[in-house]
Amino acid sequence: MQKLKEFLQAKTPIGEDSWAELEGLFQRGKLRKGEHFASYQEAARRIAFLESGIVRAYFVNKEGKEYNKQFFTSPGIIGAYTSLLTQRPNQIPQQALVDCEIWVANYKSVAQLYDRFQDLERLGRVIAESYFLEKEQKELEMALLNATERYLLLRKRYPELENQIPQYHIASYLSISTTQLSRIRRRLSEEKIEGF
Amino acid sequence: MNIKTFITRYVDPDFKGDELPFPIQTFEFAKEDIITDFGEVETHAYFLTEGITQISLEKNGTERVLDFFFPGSFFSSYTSLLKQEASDVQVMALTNCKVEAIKGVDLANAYQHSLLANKVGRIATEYNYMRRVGREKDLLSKTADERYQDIFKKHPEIINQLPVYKIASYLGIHPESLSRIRKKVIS
Repeated sequence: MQKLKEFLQAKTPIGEDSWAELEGLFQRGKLRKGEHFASYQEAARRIAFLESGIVRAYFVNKEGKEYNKQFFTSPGIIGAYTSLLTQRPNQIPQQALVDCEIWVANYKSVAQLYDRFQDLERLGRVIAESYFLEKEQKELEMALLNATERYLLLRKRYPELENQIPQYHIASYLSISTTQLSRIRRRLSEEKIEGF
Repeated sequence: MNIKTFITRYVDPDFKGDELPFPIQTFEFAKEDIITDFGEVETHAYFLTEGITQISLEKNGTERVLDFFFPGSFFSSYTSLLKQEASDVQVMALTNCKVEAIKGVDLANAYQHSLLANKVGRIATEYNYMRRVGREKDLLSKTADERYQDIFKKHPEIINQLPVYKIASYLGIHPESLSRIRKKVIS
């Protein structure tokens, strides 16, 4: 669990007593490629630290069209955040895109530690802030950048992603068709952009 | 509602009103006052007690309204406040407003030593996050008609208090489309 400990300590200092309590709540787990960590319409109960692998969060509209909202790689935390907070049916499923190794915990058990350990309450706050920051960053990018620019940013943030998952997942994230994505990639290689 | 009642209702029912972990100041803003401008670094977290504010960005010279805030909400250029970097968004008063304000530095200090401060920060942030998620989901899954109905049901006063073009911008539609929708609602 060293990777998890380092990941959390980097966000905010956690005392040894607090860590001992927190550590006890996590268990090793696996997600097979295609397996869902958080399902549609279920009230979410678990969070997990992604030790290795790739997970996507996606939304399905009434017509059945899927939109990839976010990718998660290691180190990172997965879990249907809104559903965990509200205990309402989850609207945003999370699915493993490759085999994943995870450390799983019951979210409620973790949250119950907040009142007893101030550094864990602070960790909860810092994590909430980082969710917000990511969300606002994405909204700005979607409003201000075109698909090519967003594609280049995605490659910068997740350099190994395209080697491991099909192009249609990338296209879905960018809200474009696979044909449009191919066109973008072709244009980038014609312009001799680095990496193409 | 003010910050103290927010805390009692959403953070800690046992909260005694004289134990705020950070100092607050009250401000008033006039209609169209820019509270935080593009490029400024946010200095405060605000709690709206009266009036309506907006957060917007600018694309190709056109204003895009990201969100409206109504009394009982925290608002600010939050990314800028958290990262202490230049704001990508603008925060503006759309009507005369009254706010309670927490200075960013006071909040940061309170986070060092107060469990309650961290809890307030976490819950306010979680709430703000969920608002955004809800808005994104609505944009993807509801028609402009439906989204107009939603906001009109919750805040009927916007019709009298805000210009049509602003509401249209928030809904992501042309003002003419909004006029059409409103005619349908009235009839």
